[in-house]
Amino acid sequence: MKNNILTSRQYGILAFLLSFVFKFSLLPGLIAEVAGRDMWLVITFAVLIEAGTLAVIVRISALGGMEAVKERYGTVVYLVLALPAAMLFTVKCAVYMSEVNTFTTSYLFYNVSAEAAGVILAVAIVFLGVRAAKGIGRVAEIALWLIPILILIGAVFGKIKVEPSYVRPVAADGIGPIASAFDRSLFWFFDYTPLLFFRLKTNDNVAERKRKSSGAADAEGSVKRALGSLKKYAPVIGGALGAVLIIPFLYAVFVMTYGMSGHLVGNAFSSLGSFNVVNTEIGSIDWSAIVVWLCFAVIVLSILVFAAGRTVESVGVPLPVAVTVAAAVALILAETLFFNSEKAMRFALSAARYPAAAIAVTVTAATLILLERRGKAVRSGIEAEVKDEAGV
Amino acid sequence: MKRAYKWVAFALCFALILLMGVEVVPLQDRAIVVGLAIDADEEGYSVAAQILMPSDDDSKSSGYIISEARSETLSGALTKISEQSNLIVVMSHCNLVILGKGVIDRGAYYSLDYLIRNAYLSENALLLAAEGRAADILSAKTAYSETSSFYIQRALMEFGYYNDRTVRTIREFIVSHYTYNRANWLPIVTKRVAQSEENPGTTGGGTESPEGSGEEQYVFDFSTTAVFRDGKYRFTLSQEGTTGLAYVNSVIEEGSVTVTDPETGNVYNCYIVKSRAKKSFEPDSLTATVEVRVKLILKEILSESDIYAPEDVEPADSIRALISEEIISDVVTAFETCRADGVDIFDLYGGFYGEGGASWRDSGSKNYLGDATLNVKTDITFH
Repeated sequence: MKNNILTSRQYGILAFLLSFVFKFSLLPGLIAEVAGRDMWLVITFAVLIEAGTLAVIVRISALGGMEAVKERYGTVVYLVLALPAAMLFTVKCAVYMSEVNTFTTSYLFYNVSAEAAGVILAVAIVFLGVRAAKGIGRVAEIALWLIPILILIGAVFGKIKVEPSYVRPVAADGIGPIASAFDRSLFWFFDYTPLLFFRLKTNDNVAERKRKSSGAADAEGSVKRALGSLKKYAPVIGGALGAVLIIPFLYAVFVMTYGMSGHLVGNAFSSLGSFNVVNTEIGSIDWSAIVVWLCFAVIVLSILVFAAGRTVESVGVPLPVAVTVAAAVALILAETLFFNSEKAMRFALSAARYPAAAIAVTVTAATLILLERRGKAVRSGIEAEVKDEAGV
Repeated sequence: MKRAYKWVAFALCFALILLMGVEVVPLQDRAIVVGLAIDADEEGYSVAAQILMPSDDDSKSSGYIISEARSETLSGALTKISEQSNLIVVMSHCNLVILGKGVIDRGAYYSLDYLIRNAYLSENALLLAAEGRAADILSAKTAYSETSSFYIQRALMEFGYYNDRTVRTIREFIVSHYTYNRANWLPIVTKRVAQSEENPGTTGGGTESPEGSGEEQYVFDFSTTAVFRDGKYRFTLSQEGTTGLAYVNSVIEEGSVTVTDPETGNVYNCYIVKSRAKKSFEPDSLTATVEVRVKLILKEILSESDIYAPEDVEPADSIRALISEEIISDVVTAFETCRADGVDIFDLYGGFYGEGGASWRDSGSKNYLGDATLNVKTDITFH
């Protein structure tokens, strides 16, 4: 069942959300602790590297994603690549879930236990995961409209108090603290990897592929093809560009707001979201930022459990069961091992961050190599076919 | 059959959400704190919480009680308040924290750990200092509102952009603590009688007592500022210094400037539409420049010779110069008073370091505060 096909618009939105969401909970405070006012440089470096990996992952998704590996090399090769990735997604899901649970019980429902919040959120996450690409993609498209609403509320009610001078001087202590902060934050990077399990819907047909491989390369044709390709991937490029521009910008705003006290901030998005707080005498209405972040977090977690479930599905387990199991394992980990976000944070800062990054990079690279090898063979076959037809 | 499974799964999920989402603490079992007063002595903290008490009678508005408890820590004291009242203390509606003199002397920053960890409080709650006991401020009956914490919040949130007061949230106080010099400040709240016991309903700025009970009612004043360095209280900044501090560190949207023309004796009062300051720094010469840009409306001219015509919307240059002098004098007072005590109230270090970078920090930052020159300029426009 082709339940992993995303349109390029949905792909672009998911790419943005995957990179964005969990860089705005615990991470800013952790980076600020080491890099101080240069935290925005750390994240700029990180999102640029991530954008590089996204280019590779988009290529893989266009070639059919991880499913293409299974089709061309068989289930064993597929599992060798997908299983470590699935384990990584489950562990990441558990750590992120712990952040979401703490966030929900700290900011939204202070009188609800983290366990209860976790179970209720897990229901939504499993539902979306089971609905697969169609459901996740559509919900992401709808949820994205919350951003303009957030900005509108901020514009109407917000009182922004920032001090731009806090950002300067830049890298006064050299690159040491920046590199060190990047190193300790590795667990929160390379978040595009779950997109390997999605196919990117393209309109290429065989005739077009033949035309492309025929090498009939007049200048006009090349430009047209380049423009066509750009148009096809424009939403994906937009998503990646959005992440590359918006994330460092918001980190800079974070520095302008919190100065050198950023390490004391628990959830950056909620805190930055206070720009659209409507203060009243008996409290403050800051739900808009909270709801937006929570909604996006559920979408990202559903992508992770879908990707993990998709791997298990390949050995004959129905997807709903596989997704439920992945979410249940993540939930149990989140509510036992990572009972609160501090424990999850300690785990993410431990040496576990290195295998996490290594799995993400290795699986992506190996998948690309495998698909490009077979892709070359396919292209060679087509070229030979075209030459035969031409009687060369 | 497949459809039946779906309905069963849906029913289970719905039941789960209902069961797990049930309120752990119902509304009537919560003590909703709207203001907190923290005092300290050698033995620990005394915390007074102003708690909203919903009225059973529809014809009456909700009242409040002040519940007080002592403990070695703030959270310990709040737990005791819970025990005393048999209610769960809820801080999510608390927008006001007053620190008593004991806390200020002990080190305001170091008493705030619990409050910083609370997501709601750290972002939104106003932080003030009291000259004496903070609990006395919280429990004072105000002339304009039944609940003192609401009155203070209104004065600082809705009308907090006056030039004679500074407004700080817990977050802003923490951010200033993490500047190089750790210079910090808090508005001081003092109470004064608006309506005396002897002569109810006739004196002061207060309204007539509704019951005519003769009970003393108060108004609050925020025109002085407690200055800190490295978390410790240093001195109290005068009203003039507080105004200077507000001109540089706040965006002002209310208040007025009054000047007297020495030649004619005319008194000019100008309403402040907006005022904001721009700082610039030259690290090599250790020169900081503050330009205060003020938009004013000429509201009143008191003159013994004549009533002025409507076209007199802009005063003469000499009056403009007097207003400029007044503003510069306030800013310089704030800076020099603080500098005399080693407090870098305008964060000159941050400005010089931002411009000069590591080389300035490593070579030119020694005794920067003593050697620095502060130029104050004004840009005054009339609406």
